[in-house]
Amino acid sequence: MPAIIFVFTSQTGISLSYLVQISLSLILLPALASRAVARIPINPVLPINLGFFLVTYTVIGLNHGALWQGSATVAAIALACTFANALRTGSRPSVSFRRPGRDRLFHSPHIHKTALSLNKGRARLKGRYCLSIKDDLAYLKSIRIFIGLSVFIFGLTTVVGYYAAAVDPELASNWTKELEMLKWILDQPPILIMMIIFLKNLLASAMAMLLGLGLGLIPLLVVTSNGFLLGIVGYATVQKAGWIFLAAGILPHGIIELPVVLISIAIGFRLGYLLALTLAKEKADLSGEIRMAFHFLVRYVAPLLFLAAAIETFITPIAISVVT
Amino acid sequence: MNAKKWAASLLKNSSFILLLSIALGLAFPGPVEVTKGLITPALMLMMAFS
Repeated sequence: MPAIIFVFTSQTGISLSYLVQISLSLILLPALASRAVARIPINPVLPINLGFFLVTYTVIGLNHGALWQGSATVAAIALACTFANALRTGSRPSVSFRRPGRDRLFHSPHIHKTALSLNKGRARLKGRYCLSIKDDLAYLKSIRIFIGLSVFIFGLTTVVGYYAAAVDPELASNWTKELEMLKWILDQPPILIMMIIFLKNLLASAMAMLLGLGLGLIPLLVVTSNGFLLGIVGYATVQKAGWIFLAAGILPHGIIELPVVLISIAIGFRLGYLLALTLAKEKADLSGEIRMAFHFLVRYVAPLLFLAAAIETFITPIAISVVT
Repeated sequence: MNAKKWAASLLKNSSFILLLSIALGLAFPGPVEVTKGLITPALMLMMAFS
């Protein structure tokens, strides 16, 4: 992981020493301080919310110009959708998705028991819990609202990005500058290209999934920015080469990659929602849910993203050459 | 619920804090020049308490 981080950060001009300094400040020092802080008789929600306010206020304030100029609509719609769904799911807790009489896995109808309460009484192999594909499908069914939410936001921002590119070409060129930074990848040998694509997608999915703990803000950012970027790139491609070219360039790998990434984002939303429940003193098995997220990351997300990267490197160019 | 309890519950409500910070950040971005330097300490505070 440090090597992956170094490879990608070196491309953005961030030095390794700065990375180490930030890691020490934000991981080691807080971990040490938390021992002492735990003894202070204060509700931890208040300082956490104070920090949350400062960080969000500063980030929004520093970028308010850009937000007013175009992305405000996207962010407002995405935020409204997130909170509308959170309110809806919050007022009507998820119900058990197994038939009555069978063992209930993730949710009770009355309390927010989640994820690896599923492991109680389950078989263990070499100290690890054994989850069948049926269990995984049941978990996916239990988070279907969050999957629907991520698909909806992605679709909406893609459409907004497409029309934004049509209306404001300057905005589109600003966004596509980000892609131009990745042109160095194309100069590498195919195997390395595949590995870079795989690691980049895996890193993005893992971040969207596990950093969803930050009240779902990171997955929201990932889904809106990716949807918007896809819309902009889609518009430019359609104008230059047509819809068939766009389909040939996206579909072969996208048919695997997009669902995997959107499910990762949905799990991120779910973790953020559960953290909010935990902060509100509701019962929620957050650690179990995080383990479930890791389970999905290792068992499905990583292998499928590897397959998608292989298709993107070796098959998508063939599909593009066929249509051109 | 009296005003004090109501204010305390609002300060503990993360959704409210998020909306408030977004609204203030968009409407009154002036003080961000001061709070810019507080981002890392704020993140450290959050990490330590969480």
